Amino acid sequence: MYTYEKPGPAEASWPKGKYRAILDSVPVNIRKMIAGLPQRNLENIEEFRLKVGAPFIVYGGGDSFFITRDGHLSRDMTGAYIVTREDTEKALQLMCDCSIYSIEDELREGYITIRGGHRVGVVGKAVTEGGRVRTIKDISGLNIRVSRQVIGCADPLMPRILRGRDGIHNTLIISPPQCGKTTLLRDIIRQLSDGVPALNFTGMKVGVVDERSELAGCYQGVPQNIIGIRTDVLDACPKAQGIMMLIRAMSPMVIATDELGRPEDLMAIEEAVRAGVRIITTVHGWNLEDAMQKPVIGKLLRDGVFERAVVLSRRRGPGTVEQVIDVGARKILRGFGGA
Amino acid sequence: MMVKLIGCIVIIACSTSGGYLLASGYTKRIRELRAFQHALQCLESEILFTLTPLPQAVKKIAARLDKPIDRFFAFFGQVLEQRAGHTAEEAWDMAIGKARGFLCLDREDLDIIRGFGKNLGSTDRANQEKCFRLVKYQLQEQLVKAEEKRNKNEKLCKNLGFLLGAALVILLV
Repeated sequence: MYTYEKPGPAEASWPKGKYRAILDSVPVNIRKMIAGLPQRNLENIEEFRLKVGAPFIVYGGGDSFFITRDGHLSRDMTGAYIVTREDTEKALQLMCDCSIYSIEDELREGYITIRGGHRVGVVGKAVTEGGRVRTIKDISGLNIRVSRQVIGCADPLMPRILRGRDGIHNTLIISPPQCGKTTLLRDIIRQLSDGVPALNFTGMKVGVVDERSELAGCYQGVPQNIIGIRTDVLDACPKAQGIMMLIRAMSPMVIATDELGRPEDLMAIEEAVRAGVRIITTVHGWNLEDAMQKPVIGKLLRDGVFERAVVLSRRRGPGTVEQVIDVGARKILRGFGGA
Repeated sequence: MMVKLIGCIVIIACSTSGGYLLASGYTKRIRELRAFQHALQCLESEILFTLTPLPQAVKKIAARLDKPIDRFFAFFGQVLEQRAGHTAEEAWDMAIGKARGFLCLDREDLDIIRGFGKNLGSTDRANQEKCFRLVKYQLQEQLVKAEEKRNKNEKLCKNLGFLLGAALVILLV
């Protein structure tokens, strides 16, 4: 008898194509260093940081290492490779296929999305015009954040989110930074969209407003992450506007967005709820009380828009589910020991 | 006598066709300058209006261009698509190095085109627009110069070829 084997976390988070995209986005000398790292080290890296005049540093699992000239991880700074201005300038060009003009809008926000859905933070000298950032020049630092899709990380959560065979609870994911809320939301979207056979859930139309290109990781409009067969993505679109556009255009049953919080988002969400669309979103925060303090999210919580709140932490690694709360009943639904 | 006559004819034919070949270089240069203007016009609209990333934009226009300029852009596009770590400027220079063998453009033309490559893709939209404006202006100037040069030299080359051959024949006979 054949059984379907789930890919291990390593394979799921470092498919060959994704790894390729990071190598392609840096100059040849740095490519060699990264390619020289042993696979088990590579798998743990969350960020590659290139800063002009500083050592090449990688972060992962709450730890950081220098990368030496011959491509080894080291805790000793003396052998570390020192990044040059040429490295960062060249890397930026390679990241956008030598087409800076095509990423102007993204650059203005301070980050770009490269192939494979990885996000690259960019710092340098901001050029302003009428008080608004027009572009960033003299790039001094790049932070390549490895996009990790952990297929199945939402498995233990799904029974608490689903409502019956074809509905879901409006859900708010509350999490401090770097605790895996985007990764969790992405997997929830995938499962809602594809359906969950084990729970007899058939799958529904999901609309995603991906303002920061993090959820779907669109590169030139094509999602680089697996986000489900019934998912429509509005890439790089402001949330409030995007929610309205999706409701009018794509008749979604669920709308998912990351990091809600601007005043105009409130109206859009209320409009979506009135239209009978379900909502899943995330917010920065430590617990439900913390989230209640936030102007927009607090109001939505008090109005009873959200039925479930999921609180994350990093206690047992990123994506640890601390609590799932039934917001209406103010009751903690137990049965969770971690993700 | 017969051999001598044939020899003379061969010498004159060779020098005349040499002259014509030299003369045709002037016309070819003009044609290539025009083709470059057209190609850059296409590239400009891809970059400024549809914001197409460079590799796709170049591939698209290379398919619509005439020979021999299409080879230049096809090669440039290939280097970009390989993602071997070359920036647009480097790829552009590589393409010029390759094109030197089959294009009739002179050194000045190539320098202008190379100068344009330094900024291609590496700046924002407003700056790209300026670069396109500059290179179009420069190429137009080159075109005027090339036409003058052709008018002056084309006939001369053709005549000179024949006359040189004739002179050689007279000397040898």
